[in-house]
Amino acid sequence: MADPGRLIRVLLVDDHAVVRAGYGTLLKDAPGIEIVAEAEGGNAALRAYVEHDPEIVIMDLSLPDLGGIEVIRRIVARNPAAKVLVFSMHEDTVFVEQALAAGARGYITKNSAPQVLLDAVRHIARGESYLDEGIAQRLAWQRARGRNSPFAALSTREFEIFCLLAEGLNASEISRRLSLSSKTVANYTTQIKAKLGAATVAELARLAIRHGVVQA
Amino acid sequence: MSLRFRLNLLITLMFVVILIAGALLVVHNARRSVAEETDATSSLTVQLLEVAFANIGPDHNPMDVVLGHLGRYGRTRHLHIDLIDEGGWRQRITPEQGSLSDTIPPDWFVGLVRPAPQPIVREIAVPGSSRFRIVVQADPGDEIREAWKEARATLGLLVTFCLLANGLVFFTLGHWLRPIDQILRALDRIGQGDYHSRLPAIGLPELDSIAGNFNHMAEALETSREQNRQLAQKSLAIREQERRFLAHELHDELGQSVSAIKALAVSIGQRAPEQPEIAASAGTIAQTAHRIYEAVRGMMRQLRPVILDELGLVPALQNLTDEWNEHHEDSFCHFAADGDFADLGDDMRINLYRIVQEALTNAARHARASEVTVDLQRRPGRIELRIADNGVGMTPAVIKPGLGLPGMRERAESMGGRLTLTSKPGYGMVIEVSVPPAVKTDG
Repeated sequence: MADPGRLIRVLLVDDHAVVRAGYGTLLKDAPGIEIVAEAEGGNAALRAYVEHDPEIVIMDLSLPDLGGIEVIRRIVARNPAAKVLVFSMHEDTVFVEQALAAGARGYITKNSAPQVLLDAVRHIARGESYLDEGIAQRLAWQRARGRNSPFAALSTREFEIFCLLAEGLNASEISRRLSLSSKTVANYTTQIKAKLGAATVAELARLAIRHGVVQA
Repeated sequence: MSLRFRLNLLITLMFVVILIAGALLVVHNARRSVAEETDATSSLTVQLLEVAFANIGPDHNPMDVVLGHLGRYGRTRHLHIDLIDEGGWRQRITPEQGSLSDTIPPDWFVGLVRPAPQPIVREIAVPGSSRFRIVVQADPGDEIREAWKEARATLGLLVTFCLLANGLVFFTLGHWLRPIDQILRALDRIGQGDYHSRLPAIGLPELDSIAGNFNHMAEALETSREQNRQLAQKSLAIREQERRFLAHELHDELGQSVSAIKALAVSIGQRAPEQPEIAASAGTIAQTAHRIYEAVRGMMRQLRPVILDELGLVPALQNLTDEWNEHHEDSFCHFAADGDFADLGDDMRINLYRIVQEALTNAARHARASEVTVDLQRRPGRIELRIADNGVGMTPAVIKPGLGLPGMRERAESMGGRLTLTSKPGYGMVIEVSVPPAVKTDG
């Protein structure tokens, strides 16, 4: 909040009245945030954007008329500086990537703690981008084990354990961190080594550093 | 006993009876004729000799008479003629005679037909000379030989006939019954589920009607299986559609609402900083809402794995096994995939996913397996899925209900493939699914 006296003007787009009511209350109560308009569909959102020129658009992706991604595209096409924060039920990285590609500045899920929304609004208002922590992590991992990388064959869980192993955590630390049994972690470790053709954890670590998965 | 063998046996038995009867008759006839012949010969010879002796003078040597006489009526029969004079001197005349044939009858036959020796003895008084006795005995050798020849010809004919009849029955029956093997093989194929099997026209009216009925049955089976398959496919598709709808509803309505409740609870908590009870209750509501949300998310994933639609089959299966490993501490599932599955149609993806899901549920709930491997392979023209566990196993014939195996099989068959289950108590279970890939039809 560079300008403490100024309110962040928000447009809330969601087809569920109950969501608008719940999060609307939360946002209104939050200091420094003001809801200038609400919309329940894509077309209504576009009209409201033109009419109210909000600083931030909080938007669900599944809208009854225009798809959320399409709305983002049109808003950004109209105003490349528009700040759109996606607030969706979808947790899959595919949606995140599409939303970001369409020009969204942030992505959080409705599964996050409600305070995260306030946090995200403030970050984006400052011109930063904001990703839900879990999503950011998954997105990074997915990039790291893209199609051609040696990690493509690893499952999400395997890649997660691989990263932790490469960072130097031992089996019991990993099992505590991921709330898995140490036996399961041991099984995964064996499978990861087999998939990556590594004999030791040290080799795994070297592999991770070479591909920039962890910092040396 | 096959029909052919039975018929052959029957014919042979019949012929054996005929043969025995024939043989008895032949031997009986031979015996009689041999006896008659030898008797007749002996009597005739004696009569002739008596006549001859009656007409000779005293200076004649009886031996010459006999020899001369015998010479006259030819070398027809074997005869032993003994001349015994008063002094007991015995002279034997055995005319030199060639055998009528070279055949030598076997001893058993000779034994059977040879008549008891019946020598004819006559006292001859030569006028002016001494008296002597003449003993004529016919040797039945030739008669026996003749009888043997006849008997052999008759028996030979019978045996030849018997062999021919048997052979004929054997080959013709074999020829006519060959279509029965064909029918049996076709029935076998039907039994193994190959309903394409059809029988050609056979050429025998009885078997042709069987073949006709068989083909009709196979066609009916094939049609009904196809209908079943379509029905199963339809019902599976409907089930998936409903699940998808439910998941969507849960996601949209319940998920959103719970999320909204959470937001409201948080804002209530924030509005009442000076009333800790309200803040605490609001906190509890938020937590409860969060738990409900998590539960709804789990249900949604069960109903419709979103990741399957978004990322495809392999990541979805990876995710499934990861989650399974997370929830089953005592066992571990290895997953490996080989090949590209991006082009698979929606039904195929969900069916393969559900089969793995069901198999993993079984492995955990019933098999008590400590290790499971899931292997998905793309081969030319086929997709092969193999799920193996090292659990308690079972006898495939007594599969417990509740294992969802019929459902898995239904899914495999609705995809035009098949599911094979291999298991043995104590040796785990292997489920193999092989299906022709159904490629996406955009829509």
